[in-house]
Amino acid sequence: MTETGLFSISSTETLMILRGFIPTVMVVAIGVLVGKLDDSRHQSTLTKLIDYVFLPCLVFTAIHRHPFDLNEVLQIAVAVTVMVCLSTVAALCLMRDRPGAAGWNHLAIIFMSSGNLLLPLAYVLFGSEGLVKGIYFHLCVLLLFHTLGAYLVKGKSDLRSFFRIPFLYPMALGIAAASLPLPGSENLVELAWLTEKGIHIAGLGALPLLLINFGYPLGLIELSALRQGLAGGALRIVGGPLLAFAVIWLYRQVGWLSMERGYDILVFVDRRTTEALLILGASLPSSHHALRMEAGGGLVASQAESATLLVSVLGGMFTVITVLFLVDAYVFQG
Amino acid sequence: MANFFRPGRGRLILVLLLAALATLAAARAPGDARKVRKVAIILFRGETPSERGFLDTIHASGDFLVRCRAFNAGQSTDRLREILANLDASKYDLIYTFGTMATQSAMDKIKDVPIVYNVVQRPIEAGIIRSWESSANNVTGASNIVAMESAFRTVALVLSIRKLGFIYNDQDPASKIQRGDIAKIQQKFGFRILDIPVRDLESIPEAMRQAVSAKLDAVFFPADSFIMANAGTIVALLNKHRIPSIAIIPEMVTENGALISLGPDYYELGQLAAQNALEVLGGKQPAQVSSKTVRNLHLYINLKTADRLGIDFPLQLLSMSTVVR
Amino acid sequence: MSLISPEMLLVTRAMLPSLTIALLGVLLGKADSRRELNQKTISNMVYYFFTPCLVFSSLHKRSFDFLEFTLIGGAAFLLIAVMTPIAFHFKRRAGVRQNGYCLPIIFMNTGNVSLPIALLLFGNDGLAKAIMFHMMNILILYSFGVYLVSGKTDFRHFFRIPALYATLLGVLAATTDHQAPELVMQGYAILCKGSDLLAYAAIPLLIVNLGYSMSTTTRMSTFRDDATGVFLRVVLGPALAFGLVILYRKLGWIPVGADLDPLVTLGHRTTEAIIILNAAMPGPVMAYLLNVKFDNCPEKAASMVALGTLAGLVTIPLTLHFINLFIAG
Repeated sequence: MTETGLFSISSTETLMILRGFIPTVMVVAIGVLVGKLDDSRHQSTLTKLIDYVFLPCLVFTAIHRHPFDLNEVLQIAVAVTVMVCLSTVAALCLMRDRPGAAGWNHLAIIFMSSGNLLLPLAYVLFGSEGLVKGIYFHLCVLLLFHTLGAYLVKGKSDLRSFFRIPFLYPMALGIAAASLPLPGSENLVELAWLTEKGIHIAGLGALPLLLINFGYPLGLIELSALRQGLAGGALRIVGGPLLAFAVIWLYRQVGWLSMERGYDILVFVDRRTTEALLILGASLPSSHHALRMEAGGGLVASQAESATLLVSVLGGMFTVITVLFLVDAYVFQG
Repeated sequence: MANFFRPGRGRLILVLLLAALATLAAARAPGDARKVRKVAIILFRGETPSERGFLDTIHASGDFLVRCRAFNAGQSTDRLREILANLDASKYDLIYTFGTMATQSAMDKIKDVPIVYNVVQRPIEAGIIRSWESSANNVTGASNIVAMESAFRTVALVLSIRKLGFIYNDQDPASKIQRGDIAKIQQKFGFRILDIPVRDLESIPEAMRQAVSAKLDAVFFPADSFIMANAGTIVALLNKHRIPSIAIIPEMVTENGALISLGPDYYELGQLAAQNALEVLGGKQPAQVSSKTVRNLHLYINLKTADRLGIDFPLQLLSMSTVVR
Repeated sequence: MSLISPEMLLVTRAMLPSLTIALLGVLLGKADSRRELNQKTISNMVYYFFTPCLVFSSLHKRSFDFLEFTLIGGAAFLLIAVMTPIAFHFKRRAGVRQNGYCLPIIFMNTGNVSLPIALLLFGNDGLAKAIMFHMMNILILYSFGVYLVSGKTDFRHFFRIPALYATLLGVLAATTDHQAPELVMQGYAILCKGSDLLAYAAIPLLIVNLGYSMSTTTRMSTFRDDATGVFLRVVLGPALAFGLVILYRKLGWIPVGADLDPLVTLGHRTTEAIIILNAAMPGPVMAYLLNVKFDNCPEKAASMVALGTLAGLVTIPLTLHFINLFIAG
């Protein structure tokens, strides 16, 4: 905590938030530019690089440097499941499908961009601890997407697709590496560390690529379609954080994320980071996955769903930073 | 007698006045009826926030008027020995000691006067007390114990450390104990330790040369009075060579520019030691007064040092730490 | 010197992370049998966005000494200038038409490999000097180098090179005394942070792309030419640098005798060591990027860069040994 005022431009926390958030918006904007320069023809190149090389590297190095805690995973998994389920109910009740839309617009409302946006933001704002929690969050969202999400639009879940996600396996490797004892030989340790360093450098490359990948197709969406996405987009970026705050409140009540400071402040910091990550994740704009699933490998889906994405992105620029300030005020400093 | 109490306004007023005066005389200013106690304060490096906490609490006592006499060893072990050799402990009701070395030295000499220690990292391992609940001797006090794993995890949140320097005074037993604790977590976190012992002012430059040439990822400062007293010089050099420093004593961050510390509030620690001292002065045996530690640890971050070293702290750490700019 | 000398270990340590990333690219290439990855898209992103940010990020945080830059940057310029006709002569003899073939011979990898070694062996002073060498190298690479591979003689094209502006901005930022209102400084810090974020992707993307190119089978028929090109780079390069250092000494630009202040003497010897060390570096991965961007024999460039990097595992420690013998000794 610093002496200057909470929302003073010179307060350390305000500067940190701005220094984390604005650059990520800048890089997403560059992604839009890249998409336009590229005539948006080669997103699959970006996606392949991210999915098969960079994201697995990022996940492996983040996970293996962090002691595995099943409790932490469960906390995040339960919170994400509750939020997604309640979002589903809200979306189904409040948003009527267009005829023949088969629930695609609902996916854009229910599921947030837990990969492209959350991972870089979590790293920049909350460091490596935030990144690990973000990875668990993303994994849970993907699982629900391929089960509940697939069921909503196709009538049946698609768990096989979930197990084809490349980063699952480096994640398992990372957990194993974090849990196993270090080898005795110093040369082996040195070799492993140098190899890991290369993987780590590659993993860091994932951060801007994820953001660029997010921005890439946005340039294709016509602004004239914005009106169609207003309700859905608003539901995503306003309803999401409200749900998250409610879940956090519940967690505190049942003692799952206790407010007790205890002797070791790091335990307290860790709990608050989990809360912050859950709230941030829930407040993010719509996910590409929904659109990719509908478009079946094409770039963007139909206008309504794309409009929801665009509204959530444009509105999210204001709501996400507001949420970050609220997180700092009421979670970290509360 | 009956005449005296004959109803009359003037006499009634006089009686009331006399009664008031008698009451005032009985309600004497605090201190006047307080028992006087004498405390010898043995310091290794002068007054610190711990002593301020101790003295403020002691002097605020309603039961005792405590007269303190300070003996400052000025970071010199010879001077410390001299102080203890010349000290007539029988003149004092209680001896206050700062740090492991001073406490152990005092215990060797003083057996029948209560000793209250403060800022001792590992009192059990140092043989000062038998257990936290009971010392089984004439000693009690407050410990600034910090789990080495917690301290290391603090900095591991922002840095990847493979080679850690451990700067310590090899004359101080507490530092050696803390070195042992670091060795226990070495395997778990996968780093190597380079020992950088210093024993006096003259050995510091050579130790710093060793630290710089070893290309360390970070340097760890244990709770060590000698190192603390020379922290300004040591940390300035480390910062110049962009080597991050982790401390347990917050002053090293707030005043000397170390990067981060995880430790107790030392003023609060002094207050805890004072509470023990007051219990002993009140008649309890030191062995009956359990040793205390603070309830919470605090994080301190020096943002200027972080900027210089090019280290970005995550938002949650900044928000929940005391940040020095 | 033993077979596995400390210098060799040092160089291996500096290179192993890059080799790991290249391996990832190779594996991706092998898995992508239908060649669906569009390398042009990747190189465009790197050329227009990531590399300029990397250049700016690495330059703006450093301090800058114009006099020293003249000495060290001048050495880089001279080495490139001397190597250029040699490379072209070899290109003609090898029967290669594209100028891109010369890039990995003329220019050096003064970033990835040289900087960590400079820091480890020569400390912060060595690092600062290595950065100056690096600055000049990339300045010429992104001007003259682009001219060579693009084939564009129109001088206006020179002004469309993003990394050039990034270099100039970085040097400007490094040399300017930052006295501006707090708000402006915070805005600048935010921009720098954005630049740092983008810079993360430059090197890994480049090296993955390089590995991807290497995943196609290298034809043995060109191996001899590629190896000769590599030889010129990693053997002739440091030999020329030794000659240049001797010339500098003869001209009095670098004093030979010991100064009253031993630190000044050490500084002179460090300057010499850095010039020779950088001249011993293999061809830069950036050269490969330019070859891809302008479709100028990227396969050969990839081959020479990769071969050069592997050869560097042997030649760089040897060079360090000679530096120790003749410069520091």
